[in-house]
Amino acid sequence: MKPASPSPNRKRGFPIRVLRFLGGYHLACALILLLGVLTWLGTLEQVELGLYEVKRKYFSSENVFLLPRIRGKTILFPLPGAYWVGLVFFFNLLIGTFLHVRWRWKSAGILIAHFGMLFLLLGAFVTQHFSQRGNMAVNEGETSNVAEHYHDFVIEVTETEDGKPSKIHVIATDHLAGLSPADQRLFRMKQLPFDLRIDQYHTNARPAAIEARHDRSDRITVDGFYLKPKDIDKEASLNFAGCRATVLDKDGKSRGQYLISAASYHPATIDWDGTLYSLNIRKALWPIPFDLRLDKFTHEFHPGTMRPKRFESQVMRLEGGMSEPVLIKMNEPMRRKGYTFFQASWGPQGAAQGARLFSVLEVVKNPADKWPEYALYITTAGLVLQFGLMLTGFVFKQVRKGEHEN
Amino acid sequence: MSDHSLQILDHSLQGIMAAAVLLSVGCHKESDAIEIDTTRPLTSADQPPKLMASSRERFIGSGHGATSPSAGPMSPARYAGVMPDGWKELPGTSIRLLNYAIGPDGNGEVYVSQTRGGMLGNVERWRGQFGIANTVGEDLLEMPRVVLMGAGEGLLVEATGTYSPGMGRPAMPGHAMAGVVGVLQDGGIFTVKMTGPEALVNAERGRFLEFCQTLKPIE
Repeated sequence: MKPASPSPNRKRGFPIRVLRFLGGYHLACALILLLGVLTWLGTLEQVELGLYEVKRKYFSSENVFLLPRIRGKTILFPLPGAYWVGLVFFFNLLIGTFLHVRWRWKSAGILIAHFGMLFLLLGAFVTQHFSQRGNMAVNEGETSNVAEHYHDFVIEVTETEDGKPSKIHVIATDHLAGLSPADQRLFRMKQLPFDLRIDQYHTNARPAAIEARHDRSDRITVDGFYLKPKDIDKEASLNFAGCRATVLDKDGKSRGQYLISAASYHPATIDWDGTLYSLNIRKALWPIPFDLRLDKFTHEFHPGTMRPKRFESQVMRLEGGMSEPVLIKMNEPMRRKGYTFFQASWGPQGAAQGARLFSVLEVVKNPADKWPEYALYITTAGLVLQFGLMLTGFVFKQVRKGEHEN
Repeated sequence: MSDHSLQILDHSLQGIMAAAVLLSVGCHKESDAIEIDTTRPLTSADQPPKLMASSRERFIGSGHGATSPSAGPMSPARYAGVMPDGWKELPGTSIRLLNYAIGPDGNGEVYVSQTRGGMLGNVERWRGQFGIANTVGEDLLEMPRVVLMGAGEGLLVEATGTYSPGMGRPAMPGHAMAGVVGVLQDGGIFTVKMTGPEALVNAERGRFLEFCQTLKPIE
């Protein structure tokens, strides 16, 4: 007679029980439900907050917890950010795959489907951290090799030779993060004879002439202008950052102050002992590793409406001495070297027949661009396989049962 | 609980959790001075900059010389836009906030104005200058719309024929007009109008619409 074995739960230690909970179905259901609720609340809040801010609030890693705000009223119920829910869900699936799914041929389909979902979540993580989005506007007959970020600003110092740009030094968006009008930040320009101190940084402001305001001594002015703060637009692409830049020699002595604004027509000019540099704040540019020439832009609307029927850009891709014609259409982007070009917009709106047009292409650089598609294939294959295995097993079982009965 | 308190609670929750996460992965602090060694290659967007531009040129643009002289009954705002090549800037007047001559002989004109009277009234007045009966009425909603001042929207009014500008000026056959009418936040009417010989107006139409997009108010 065998001694009575203790119940499985009593036998397991605390870490195992925690691990089983983390990989458990109950947690998985709760997380899926949470993701659904967060998506729903985010969609509602997008109406008043705008797409960019809602994505930042609900789906970025910077918010571990958030308080939803619907129709102007804050709901006093903290919810975890979707990024962190997704991360926990990833580990839930991973642990669950190893702990709860039996590793045998009969479960091969379930295992494959689990890995497909893990791949999908991994793709979302890579997209969140490594993708870039911007746009490229190019006139008919002209060539472009650069995309402009929708809302990330950078400060650029441009070396010039005979009035032309020769080298561009960039203070990246990450280095400007967190700056408020009250802050100041020093940037040591390693390849330049001077440094920059940035203060009075506004995410959205317009330069205003001092004579156009009532006399207020608390305004910081440079050469008769100051930065008038504006409310941050919920459409992030409509914000114009601005700040004051102080040029310092390497000993920290001020050699001049400049107001720079993304809403200005021309950059500031730094005259450093006769050598001219331009100083600017602008949306970040990212070079594309090939040229695109817009040969023709075609657009059509559904009759009597402004609903687009057909937008397409006939471009010539120029790369390494080779050229290849490509047609970029709505829902038929061009993919090349990790970049995807979507037909996004065009202009000038209302242009006459035969007028010269420009096309706006949305440019997305996302290493995980195709991962959701692959994840879908993997998950589908897993589920189909599992269904097939179960059906086959059932049929064999019925056949054997029939033989046994006979 | 007030919105302010809720905001503080929201930020506190985020702060506590973020601090916990940061502590778990090691603290990161922006140093007092950041070394910048980053450059980027030149691109097609890097045209020769206008060096030594004055603050006024940088922030007000090419239209700075054509601002409204002083506050009238409406205290008109000042505007600036990127003037297309080939246009000639003219001094502004009390009505024309920005004023340009266009065409090789300068026989076309573009001007920016701020007025009252409603969209319909202005559209019909412009059409009336070309002898078109005032039958716009409800069709106003169906008129083509174009981008005005970056993100705004205006109605595009076009006409060809004999142009009778009034104010004692003679009628001019073979002319055309392209004009944009928009409503300002204070309910005022903002107009940009181009007139001239038909061929010239047709040739300049695209650049005129681009110009409308670049217009913006100056503080």
